[in-house]
Amino acid sequence: MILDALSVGLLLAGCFFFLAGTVGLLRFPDVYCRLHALTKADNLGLQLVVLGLVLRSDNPFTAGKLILIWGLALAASATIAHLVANLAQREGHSPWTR
Amino acid sequence: MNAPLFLAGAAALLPLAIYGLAARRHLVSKLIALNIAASAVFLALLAGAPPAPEGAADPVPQALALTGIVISVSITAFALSLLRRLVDERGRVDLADGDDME
Amino acid sequence: MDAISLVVDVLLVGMTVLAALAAVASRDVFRAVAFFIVFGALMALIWLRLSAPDVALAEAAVGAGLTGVLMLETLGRIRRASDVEPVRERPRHPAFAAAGALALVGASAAAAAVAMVLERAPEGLAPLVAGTPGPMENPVTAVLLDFRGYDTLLEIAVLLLAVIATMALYPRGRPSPAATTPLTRGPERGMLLGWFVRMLLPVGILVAGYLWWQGADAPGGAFQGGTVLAAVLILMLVTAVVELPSPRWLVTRLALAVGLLAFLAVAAIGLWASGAPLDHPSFAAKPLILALEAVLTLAIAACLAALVVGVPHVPPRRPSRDGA
Repeated sequence: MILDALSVGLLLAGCFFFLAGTVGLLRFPDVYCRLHALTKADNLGLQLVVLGLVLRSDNPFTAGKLILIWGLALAASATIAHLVANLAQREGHSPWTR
Repeated sequence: MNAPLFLAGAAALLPLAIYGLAARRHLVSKLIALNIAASAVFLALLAGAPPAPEGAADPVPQALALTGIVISVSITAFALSLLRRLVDERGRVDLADGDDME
Repeated sequence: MDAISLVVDVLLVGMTVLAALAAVASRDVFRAVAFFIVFGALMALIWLRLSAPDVALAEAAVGAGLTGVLMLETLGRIRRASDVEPVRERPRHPAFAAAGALALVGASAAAAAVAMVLERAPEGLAPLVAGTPGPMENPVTAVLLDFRGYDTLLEIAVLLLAVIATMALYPRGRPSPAATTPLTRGPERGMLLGWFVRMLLPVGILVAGYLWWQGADAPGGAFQGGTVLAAVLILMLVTAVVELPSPRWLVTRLALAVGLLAFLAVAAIGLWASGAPLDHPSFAAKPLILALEAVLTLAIAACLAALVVGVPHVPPRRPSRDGA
């Protein structure tokens, strides 16, 4: 029961961060800020969702698979963000200033 | 399972894809339309099959759709390499003749 | 509960049709491909809603993943290769669009009618598959490799044919900037990408092996495992972590053809043991199918990778020896 409540809470918190990340992606002014929103907020959201699902999983194998997926997504998003930022810099997009 | 809903989805996707196939000139766009048409057919195949007793989808159309997905990717890949060759030979990505463009 | 699932399904189908519409209607091809990838991901969710996890796995890996990568790769190469004449799309035509919309509505109505008819159909082929004794617990794998082996055999043949046809488009010595311009080399290939790809290799092998083994009695199988392996291979090849193997090497050709060869060998064993091709002898049916699936996983990975990465430029032979 407590576990269920905790898991639902974590899932909802994860959804909130995904929403925040998406809003950032759509509203932020330049590539670098958008990457920031996408990687930071979405990774935290994914982490919370995975944690919420781990609490609900019925055996350790499912939990292990979920954690593996989380690790892969984390590594992939870090790499992609690096590549996109690198390309943007080489193509001469200067960071936004107020 | 809301089978009629998914069937309606398939029925919406197929004419959409045929429209794209006819209306777009960029060959990659045509290929996208072709792939959407294939997905629509697989969707009709699976949604149209009566559900199995345990609630899982009928394994025979599932196997057909799996086969179909691999065939689609093979055809798409071959078409894309034809396109690359076309770019090398003609420097263009469509098949317009030139005189039918006003 | 039913109301919730109806809402989810309506949203899902609606978003899928919208993504397809955006992919078809967009005049910017890059945008169209992006929407097509979104469409593929949504289709994978639809397969899950239809309780077809095997198809969902294949759609996510091939439909959304590989096909999208193929298209992006081609667009990138076309952009870099040479000056390509811009496409002049037809002017927008309201009458044409209206006719399309009308056809769409009509077809949907027809499908709804067909759905009503189909509702009265018997329970389908699943009990038949479940009731036929076979070595595979997963009914989809059973259909693919036990009952309808010919389909899968021909499927592998088509895949190999696509690879051969692609190679045939680029004869030896013919320079082809659109096909062979290397993509991700130079400064953009930082240390991070190399690290990521190297880290991915063992994980990819693990996942592919798991999907292959699991395919006997749960969702998974040779095609799903093969695409995962292909994805890792493609990443390694396009980031130049490993050199592109020449398609003229015997090893490369064997890796591409080994799936079809193994399938034919199994068909021959069936012919010898029980008088019908692909009729697996009962004493060794499961190990035979598992071994065949293992080989298929590798061959599918090689073929898909070859299709995406394309053919490296092979310099011409020394003059006047080439009869072809």
